[in-house]
Amino acid sequence: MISVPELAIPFALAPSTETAERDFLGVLPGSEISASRTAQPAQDAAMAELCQRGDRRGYEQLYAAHSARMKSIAWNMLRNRQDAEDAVQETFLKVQRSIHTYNGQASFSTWVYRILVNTCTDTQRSRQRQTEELPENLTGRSPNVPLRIALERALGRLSERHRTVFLLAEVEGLTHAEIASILNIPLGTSKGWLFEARRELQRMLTMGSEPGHTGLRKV
Amino acid sequence: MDFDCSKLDDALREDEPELLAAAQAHGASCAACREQLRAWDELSAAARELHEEWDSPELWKRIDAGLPLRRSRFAWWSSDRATWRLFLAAAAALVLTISSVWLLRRPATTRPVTTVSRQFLTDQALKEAQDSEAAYVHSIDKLAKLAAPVLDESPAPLIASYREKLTVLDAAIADLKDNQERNRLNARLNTELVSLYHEKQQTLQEVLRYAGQSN
Repeated sequence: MISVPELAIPFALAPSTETAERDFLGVLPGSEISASRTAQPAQDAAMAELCQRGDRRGYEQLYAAHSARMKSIAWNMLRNRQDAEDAVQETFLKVQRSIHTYNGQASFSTWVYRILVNTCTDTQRSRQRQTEELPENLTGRSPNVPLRIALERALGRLSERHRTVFLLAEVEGLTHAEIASILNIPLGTSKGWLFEARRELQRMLTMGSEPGHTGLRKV
Repeated sequence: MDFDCSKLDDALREDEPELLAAAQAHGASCAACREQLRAWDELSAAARELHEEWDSPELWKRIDAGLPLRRSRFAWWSSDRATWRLFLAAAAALVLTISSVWLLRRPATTRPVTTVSRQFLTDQALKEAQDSEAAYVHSIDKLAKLAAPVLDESPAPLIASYREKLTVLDAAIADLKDNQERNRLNARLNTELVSLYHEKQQTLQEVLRYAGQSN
């Protein structure tokens, strides 16, 4: 069996020893993935099968279905497009290298997102490249630029686990079941971390710690 | 549902539609909770703005180039079908012309090969090819058994790469054999299969050579 040491769980210390002992590719009871958001189960299974046979069409389908969201997650974690694209590329390589260990218990796309998040976490910890301030087209798109800027800065000051859960839930729209499976944490922990993240963000945004912010009122 | 201010945090934490609906209903008559819910929604709306998309025309090419995968055997056909159709039509016309000329000019004494004898020769050639293939596969299986302990037990990254390569090769061989079962006379499939076996043989020999050097 090929060992893939770089797929270590980034939150091993966070929830409990129970989490650390859990099989990396296992799925938690009660955290089955909904069919709605990450992919259709049939499409997911077909992609996984093709990838397991070493057929590049599986990877093409994976790229077509998920690369946009993968890039967005990576960008929000790394704040640099080049790093984000590198992380997506590395994720595909890791998927190819460890596809034989995918056991079908979690949805294939969730398994891929888990590898992506771990890859980004590793990159964050050893990064050299500077982060980008904001995308060029922001002003033409966002109705509330000051709030967005303040939120981005506040997110940068959140703990790693709170930031990741917030990004997956609020920015990318994943369900708690999906997040629990991606981060290998219990469903309740995902809910708890998101609640804490939001509370912390609201506190930062309303305490005047972010210059220029006028969006949120004190809660 | 009974709902008061003390339950607001639970509703926000649990993120359940039913609880949130009750919180909203409560917010209609409670300014403090209404304000919290509004701020909560505003944060969600701002968060959705952080989703980022951009074109990366080179990204798939980079990924594809880095993945050691099998190409579709018929990619050359589908990629430029019109050219190949033209080429095949020209080739068919040429074959027809040459056949016609040969039939018209062949010596009258040429003895035609009967259908029965042609069938016999084909079967015989096929059997010989199958026998030699079976012997070759058997010898590679022996090699695989010799290399198995090294592949299973060695923690070396190089051996991990060999394992990976052998997995891909085995999958490709299995796939090709499936196709071959359906089309025993396709020479190109046979050639590809032999070349994969050859690759597997070389890989196994490299594994054994590496194991010999490490000991």
